[in-house]
Amino acid sequence: MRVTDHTLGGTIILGALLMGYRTLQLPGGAPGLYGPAVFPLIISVALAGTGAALALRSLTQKTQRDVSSAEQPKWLQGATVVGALCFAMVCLPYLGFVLTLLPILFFLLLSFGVGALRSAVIGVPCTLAIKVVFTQILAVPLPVSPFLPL
Amino acid sequence: MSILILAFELVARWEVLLAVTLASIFGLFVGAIPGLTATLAVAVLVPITFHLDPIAAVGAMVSCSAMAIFAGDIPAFLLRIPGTPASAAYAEEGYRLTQRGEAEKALGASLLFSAVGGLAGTAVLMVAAPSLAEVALKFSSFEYFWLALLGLTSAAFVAAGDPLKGLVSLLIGLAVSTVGMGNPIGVPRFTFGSLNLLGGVNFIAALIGLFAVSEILRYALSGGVSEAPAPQVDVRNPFRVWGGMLRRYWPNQLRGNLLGVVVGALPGAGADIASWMAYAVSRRFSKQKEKYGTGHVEGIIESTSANNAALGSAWVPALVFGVPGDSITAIVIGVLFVHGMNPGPTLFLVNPENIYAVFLIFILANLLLVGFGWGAIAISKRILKVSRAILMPVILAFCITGAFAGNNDPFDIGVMLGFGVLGYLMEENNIPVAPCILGLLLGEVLESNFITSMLKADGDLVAFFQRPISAGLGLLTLMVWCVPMWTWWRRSHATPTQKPEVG
Repeated sequence: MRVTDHTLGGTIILGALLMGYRTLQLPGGAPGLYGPAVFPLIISVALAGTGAALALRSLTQKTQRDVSSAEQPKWLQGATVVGALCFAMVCLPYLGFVLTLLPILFFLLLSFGVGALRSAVIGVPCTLAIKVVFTQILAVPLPVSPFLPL
Repeated sequence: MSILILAFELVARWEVLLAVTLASIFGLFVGAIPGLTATLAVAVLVPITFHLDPIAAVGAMVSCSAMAIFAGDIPAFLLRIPGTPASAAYAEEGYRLTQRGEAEKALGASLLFSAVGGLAGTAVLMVAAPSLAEVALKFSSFEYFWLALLGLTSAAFVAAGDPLKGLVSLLIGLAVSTVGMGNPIGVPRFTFGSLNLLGGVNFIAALIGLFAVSEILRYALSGGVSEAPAPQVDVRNPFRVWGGMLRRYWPNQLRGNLLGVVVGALPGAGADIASWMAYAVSRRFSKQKEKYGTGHVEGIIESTSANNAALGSAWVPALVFGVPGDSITAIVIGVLFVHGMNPGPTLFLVNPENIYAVFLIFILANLLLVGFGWGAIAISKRILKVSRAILMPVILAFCITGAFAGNNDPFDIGVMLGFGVLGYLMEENNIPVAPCILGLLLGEVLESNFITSMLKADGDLVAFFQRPISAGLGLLTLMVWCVPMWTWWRRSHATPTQKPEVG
């Protein structure tokens, strides 16, 4: 998602203002006090300044950066990746590692154009291999499924 | 001389050599997995080291960390997933070289200069450990503030293509670093009531998100037609290529070593800042500045030389004063205490053969790095032959597991996703992601040293220039700020050359 630099600068200024507003509710921002507000306040001012400089530079430039994309992004495939990560975040503690990662791998492979049988053939050993590496070799405890106590 | 012979006898035992070899293979394996760091590899080894004798234990940890740090470059170069914050500095260069079919050349350069850098760091450790440690201990909050600011400004003004966008990226990283309770009075800051954010944003999850998830998102959104790497050029005789590189880039290597040794010896600074500063310095003084960011081996050489030299010198404060230089030496200090090798000046006086045996282990680890590292490159480059439609989901599976494994918290997968989307949006708009990572890494260091200094000086900014080292670093930082501004001012005020009238 490409935007012009002046839009980008405007967004940064907005973000900096929001950060500044939240910072002012923290203690220690007054002169002579060096509390948790000081550093974020400096950053928000610097962010606003940089955003303004970016917007100003873009508006004064004669040639604008080309923000049009040659091809329309495949939003569905992007949403599959985001959905897979959301699914992992929510389901990992409840479904356990294998039952969470296996469908993620299978459906992502499918969505990237790999056949169903091949997706299953790749997905199952990959999931189990990652599980073995992390739990057996690296001693990282991964959540175990109540339905599939692997 | 007799001490050296005794030290050699301590090292040349099958128990030590076996421990070093197995730990090296383990380090390579862990370092090459996206999301797993050298610190994790060393931490996993700790329970095993309790069953080893002191030299074998330290040898295992030294070789494991050296291998893991180099192995972090493998996913960084092949898949654009830096294994360590230090390799994030030059991940883009390595990845671009891989895209051009020169993965083996890039990884070979990283391997060679890592080993040479490691040996240089060891040489300094052997010769100048006590005197270097004395200088390092003169650093107060004022010097650390300037050092952190110098690292940050180098990244923003010199390393990035567009300084203004580099600065935006850096400030985003610094803004995110303010989340949590790591502030002067421990007040929850920007946590929005979330308990998960009280400890701040998970750095590893953010790193994986910015680099790996953003790349997977780009691949997905392009419908699987994103740029695939060109056919890889095989380096049949690495020694011939390396000989040429050493002859051509020795000044870069020396400069990187020097910077790495000095920065690495400072407690808390470590290899990460050294690597970023070396990349910035390399670009600043290069005759081919325009090639940086497009896949140029020069930046990789200088950064990786600094990175590995810093690894050795990070042991200086650890061994001489028991002050850890980085997270790895913090773990090693614990293991040394368990084995009765209490770090401190007495370590050099009582049983000095032990400390020289540790130095010999460093040399051995860096020599082994060349052989094992080349083997790892030969195996791992096969990954590029796998179709990206298969590779991307498998990488995402590793990313999910790696992000979760850090704290055993699914919230970190969300952090990784957030940073993945942020990284994608930043790169789509030509904002480099690397300075953001450095901002995130150094934000807390910068803030704590700034606030401590302000409290010490009672708000008097002149105090930042009153100590000699602090004044030197301060002036250097201001120069790095002023040079691009001066260049920009000169360019904007230059009178256009008039065409001579004809006829």
